Amino acid sequence: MRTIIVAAAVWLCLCAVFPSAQTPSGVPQSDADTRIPPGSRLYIAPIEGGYDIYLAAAMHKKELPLVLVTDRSKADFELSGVTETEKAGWAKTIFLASTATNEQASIKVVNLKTGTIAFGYNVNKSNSARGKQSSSEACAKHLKEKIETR
Amino acid sequence: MLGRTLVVIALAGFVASIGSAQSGKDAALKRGAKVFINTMPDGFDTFLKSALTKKKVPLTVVEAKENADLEMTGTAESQKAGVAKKLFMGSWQSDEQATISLADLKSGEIVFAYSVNKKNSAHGKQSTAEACAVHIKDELEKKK
Repeated sequence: MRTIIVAAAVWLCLCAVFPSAQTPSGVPQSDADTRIPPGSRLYIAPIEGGYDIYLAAAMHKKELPLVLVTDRSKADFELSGVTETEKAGWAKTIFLASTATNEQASIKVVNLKTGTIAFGYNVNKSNSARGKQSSSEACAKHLKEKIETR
Repeated sequence: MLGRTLVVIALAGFVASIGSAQSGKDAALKRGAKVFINTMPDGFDTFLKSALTKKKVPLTVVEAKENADLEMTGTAESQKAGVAKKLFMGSWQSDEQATISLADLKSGEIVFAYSVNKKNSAHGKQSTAEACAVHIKDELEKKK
């Protein structure tokens, strides 16, 4: 009995020390590399115009099963992105009676341990009802779908 | 003997994992917590301080980050009505958007975040700041 327990403990230790033995190099990245497990710690890198804070708010609103952290060294994943806003000009205001902006944004989530891109998403909203809030919530919604897809 | 030791180690790990799952969000955002408000564009931090007072949010605003439990960061943007909007839509009001997040300074976790977008904002930045304050208050009341 004791021998079996010791053998099992040694095997578990070897698996922990040499995890790469199960994924030889040169093999295309597997689903495990691109998976974002619920409860992962995510760091959102600063994005122009404070869009990183809009993303944090959207993730809170959409109840994403992630822990957002402010320190990159404590994170499992890093989110980075870009965003652009085009304000309504005078012609749009007069002829279309609309002051809504056009928004576009792009984000990517990188696994900090493996360096693989686990998720990427682009959004483009013409006449965005709520400006940056709308585009950030679209990103959050699709990230949530990715996390929940196993 | 060895088997018993392994069982004890496994139980200790299980208890530790439950403890860590319960910490974080619940621990930091609570009534009476001290919050430091970072500088924001166009003085939105000042609007937020006033809104927190007006809406009687049960948080204490401190001027030094070292004395705080939470740090608030955010940004705000105003789009003033142009000539076309004034003439053809008859509206002089601005469009406002803002976002804030509250981070626990001990754990480094973001415990609350909120964004707001108001077209034809009745009171400009004051309206968006008060919306943020109301939602922080709601979140604190959920934790009662």
